[in-house]
Amino acid sequence: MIMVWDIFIYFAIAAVVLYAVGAVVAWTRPSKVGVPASLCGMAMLVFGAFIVILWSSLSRPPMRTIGETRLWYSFFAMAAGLFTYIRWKYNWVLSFSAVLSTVFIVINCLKPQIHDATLMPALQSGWFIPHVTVYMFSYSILGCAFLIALRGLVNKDETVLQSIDTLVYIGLAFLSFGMLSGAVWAKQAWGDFWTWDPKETWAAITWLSYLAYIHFRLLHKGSLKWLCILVIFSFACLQMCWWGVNYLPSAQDSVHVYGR
Amino acid sequence: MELFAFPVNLILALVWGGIILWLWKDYRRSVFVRWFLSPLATLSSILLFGSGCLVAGFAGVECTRSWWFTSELFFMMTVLAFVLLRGLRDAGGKLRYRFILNHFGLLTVLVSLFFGSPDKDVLRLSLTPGMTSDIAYREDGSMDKLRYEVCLEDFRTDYYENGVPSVYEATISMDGKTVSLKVNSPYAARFAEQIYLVSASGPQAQGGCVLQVVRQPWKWLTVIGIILMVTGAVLLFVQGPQTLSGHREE
Repeated sequence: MIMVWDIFIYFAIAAVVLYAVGAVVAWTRPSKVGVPASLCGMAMLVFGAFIVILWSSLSRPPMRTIGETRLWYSFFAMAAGLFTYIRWKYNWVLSFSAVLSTVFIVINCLKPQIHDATLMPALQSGWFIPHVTVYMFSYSILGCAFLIALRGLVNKDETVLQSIDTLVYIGLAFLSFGMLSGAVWAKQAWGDFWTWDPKETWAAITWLSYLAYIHFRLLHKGSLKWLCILVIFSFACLQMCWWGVNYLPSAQDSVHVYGR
Repeated sequence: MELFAFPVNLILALVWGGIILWLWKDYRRSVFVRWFLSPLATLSSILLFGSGCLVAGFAGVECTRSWWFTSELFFMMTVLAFVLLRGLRDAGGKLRYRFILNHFGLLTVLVSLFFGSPDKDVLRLSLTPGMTSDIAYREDGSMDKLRYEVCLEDFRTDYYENGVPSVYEATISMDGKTVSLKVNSPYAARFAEQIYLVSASGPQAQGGCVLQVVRQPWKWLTVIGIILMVTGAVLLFVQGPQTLSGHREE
């Protein structure tokens, strides 16, 4: 396992370089969508190949530790950026998602954490893979919504709301599935759907925050500034739910801690 | 909580639902009902409950048992019920099913957890191989006699090289049957009563384990709500951001 982790840096550099070149092409030649999209697609293939190799060497899904979920987040951040670029032709979004993805890759290089083959009994469930991948995918989609909200806040550009809406609807749909699959899994493993464990509480906060955004939009309430701030706040809650909660004193006895 | 156990919780749920239906039917144009159907009520219910969760997120699980947290949840359920009734009458077009699935699903989940929680009972029993027992204990130390005897036939544990457990597996016999229990694989002993393998217990030489009996009669309602919400989430993804048509002012 250690050997496989040692080669991560090569896959990471290749993926980041490919994605970055794609982002630069998107900036400099806005009319050529195919070239940046192909480069970013190749970057995802390279990064995805490492995940497959790691999965195969561990003989278990690499989804247990926060470090392993960062791998998925980096991968899905690339995918979400690519989707947003192809769908709305924002030439800047690839650069932002490249930065977002690279930040988590760098953290994984500096703090690789544990990548052993152990998988405790509570995680040996059919819900493990769908629950984690769906959550990571939604986190990445909502990461793109966060980037667009930042841009909307700075540029005071009303048109960003349409893109944010689409991303939040997709993100919330996957977030809902992640939360509900987690509830069913919790019932199967521990006997109750919901116990207000700190991780669950922050999942509820994140879900309610995005739900509030959708209702503000449906009811035609809130200014551009307020809506962008709400999306940024929701993303902060999402980060808290993902890894920030581990640093809270109230979470020290959480049942959701698996090798920080 | 025992005060609100069955049948009190069921009566309260029916009274609450009955009052909402009665208000909806006969006082739809009253200031009270119109306020519950207003955007202000919708947004404030989400934001209030979200704020309550935020406090609980920092302060800990104890907050979720407080009167103010319960009130916020109850307020959200009530707003949700009124909005659902209006949606059932008004919501048209292709978003009708998405609206109903998401709102009815969430309401079902919340009602089942809110009114059903007093009926939930969690008991534990610690057994060693060959031991038979029908006595289990709650977290507060109180005892309960099960309607069946459980005998631990065998308990197997395996560990990874670094000492992390890889397998917990118990073989129990009850009701004349032999049952295998694993973490994530409980056994349904009765209607809405499941037996879980929780962990190993005592010195490893004794080879014992802890079993947990969970009674949760309202769980099927929660499962129905979850299925409705998952279906609603699929439609949320497929249909994307579109505005519901057909709402009319009361």
